Amino acid sequence: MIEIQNITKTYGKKANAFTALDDVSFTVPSGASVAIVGKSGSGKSTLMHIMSGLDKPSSGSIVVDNQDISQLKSKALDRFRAEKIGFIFQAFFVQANETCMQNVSLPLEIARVARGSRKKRIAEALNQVELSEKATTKARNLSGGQKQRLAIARAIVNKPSIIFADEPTGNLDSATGEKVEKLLFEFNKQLGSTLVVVTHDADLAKKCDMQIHIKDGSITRIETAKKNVPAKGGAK
Amino acid sequence: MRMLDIITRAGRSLKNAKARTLLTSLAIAVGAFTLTITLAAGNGIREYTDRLIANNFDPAESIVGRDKEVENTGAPDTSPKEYDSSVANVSFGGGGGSMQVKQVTDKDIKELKSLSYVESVRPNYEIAARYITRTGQKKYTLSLQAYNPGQKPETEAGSAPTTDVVKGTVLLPKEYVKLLKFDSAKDAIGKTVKVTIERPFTEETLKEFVAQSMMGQAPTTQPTQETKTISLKVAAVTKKGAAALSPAGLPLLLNAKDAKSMYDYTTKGTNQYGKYLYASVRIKGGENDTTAAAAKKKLKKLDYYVMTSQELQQTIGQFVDVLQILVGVFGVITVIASVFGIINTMYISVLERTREIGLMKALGMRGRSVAWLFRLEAAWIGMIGGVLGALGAFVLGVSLNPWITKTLSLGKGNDLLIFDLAQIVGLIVILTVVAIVAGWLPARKAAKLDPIEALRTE
Repeated sequence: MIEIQNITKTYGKKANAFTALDDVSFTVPSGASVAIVGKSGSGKSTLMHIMSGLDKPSSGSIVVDNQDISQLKSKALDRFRAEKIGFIFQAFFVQANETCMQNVSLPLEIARVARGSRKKRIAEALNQVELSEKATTKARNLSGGQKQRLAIARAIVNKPSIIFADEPTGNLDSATGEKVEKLLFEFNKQLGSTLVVVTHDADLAKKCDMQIHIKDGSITRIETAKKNVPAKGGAK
Repeated sequence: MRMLDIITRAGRSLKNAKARTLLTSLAIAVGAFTLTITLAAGNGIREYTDRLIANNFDPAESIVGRDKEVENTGAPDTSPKEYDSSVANVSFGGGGGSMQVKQVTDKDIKELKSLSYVESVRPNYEIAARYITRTGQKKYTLSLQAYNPGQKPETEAGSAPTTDVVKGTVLLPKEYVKLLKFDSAKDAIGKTVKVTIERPFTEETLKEFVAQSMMGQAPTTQPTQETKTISLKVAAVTKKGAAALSPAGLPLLLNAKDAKSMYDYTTKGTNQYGKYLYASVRIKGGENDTTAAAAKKKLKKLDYYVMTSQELQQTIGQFVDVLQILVGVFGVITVIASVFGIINTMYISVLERTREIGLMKALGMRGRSVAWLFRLEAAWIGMIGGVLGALGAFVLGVSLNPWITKTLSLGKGNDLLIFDLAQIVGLIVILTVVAIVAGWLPARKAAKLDPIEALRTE
């Protein structure tokens, strides 16, 4: 469960202060899929950064699995991200000159997983995104869709409890985008990982259990596809 | 992240930038090359001088004198001294200058011989020899010296005696075999050579000469110098060792008693009679540093000045050290220059890989691990450079050694460049550490990178 409580994020000082997020609160149940929807500059990326422990709020708290990550020291926060979070980016950020296996290996190395057990987990993750045949191919030789699938394999290899996907289909054509979306929802259901998608794609947002609409740093609307998802706090 | 994984990743990213890595490494390699050559040359010269000393000096022998110049390794002291009948004028240099040296007397020699820790004493006989010849041959110049078994002269024919040359015989240097028309070195053994020595003007002849001149007449008789010819049998033919020090050629080596009587003959009636510039004193167990130092202490109490063989060796060693430091400084300067190359390369590498660093940090990699990733990348560059430079120096050195030996006429079996594996490994380790230090600032920059900034796409 992710509980966002009265998050405010301000950049700059006094006269030049800019409020990116203004008193945002909501709760995401474990295993749900959430879409954070908004235009660019709305604060949706800042929200994702704070939820994933990449950034710290100016005030408020983020409780993930009964742990307030806004209070964590940087070392514990790094560890939190290494063990609990998977990231997928619009621009893939796969290492072009590394092979698929080496790319997927990175989170395991960061989490200090023993060498012996890595190989099996890497193979499993690549298999799940149907890239087994490309295991020793360098990432630069993959197509866009394959690259994003590789990024998904990298995100799931460590069995994270939350996967953040920042515009995962933004750089893909609709056919490949659909395949990537399908994979993401599949893992959301299969592994029980909470999926947080940041997007301005309304079609993608509709497929999620929960949609959080953001405008100028505030939540304007929370839609839930299922009745059992509670919507707490929110609109001002 | 585990260190092993960091090392692997650092190596991999270098492999992806081969040209850049190699070029930066080459800068370090130049420094490594210079330093390896310097070290090898230092080893070579030191080994050469060691051999030089072993070939020319008896390790158990010390030079003992009454004048403090004996212990002076720098410029001689030419200031006036208190007069003493044992002071002799020694000319030196080309400027016609002379220096007064307090000499060792027969009495001193006797005293030295009586000391319990002294094995043998060999006064420095400077015998004014005129020429050497043999029946029916031309006359040639020569120098004479008393034999010292500690010097172990190399022989062409016959063998070097273990204690002293038999009385009435001589060890003849190889050069004279041809000059005196012996068939071969072997042929010379047992044959007789004639050495002529001269006596200086005696006081009586000089007085007579001066008295005649004072009376205003031309002297009736020109004073003549007395000479004496001694026949000596050739016991062995010596040759220059591979590392003989004297450029003048070897002296003829004599029995101590023969040398003494010749010296007495040539100095009789002069101030030099029974006096010697110094004596070579063989200390019992003097090969050992501490024994020699202890003997020196005791001799100093008796007002002698002593230069042990070890001290002599040190003097030469110091000279080699200074030379090596001079060349080494150039190597160090090259390494310093290449350090800036590494810093530059590493900054570029950090800049190029901003995204990658951002991703790794986003995925929870510690700043410390990121820093080590770059420091180790620098370490790889340093190590590759070190290995390339050392290898280059080794290959070049080994292939050029015979030519250098020939050109500098060092003598067979002497190599100028001697490579020591431990030294080279040490050098590579040091260069690797230097590279890590060079990578410190760029690595810190990478460690402090904000992942959000680094991953911003627009």
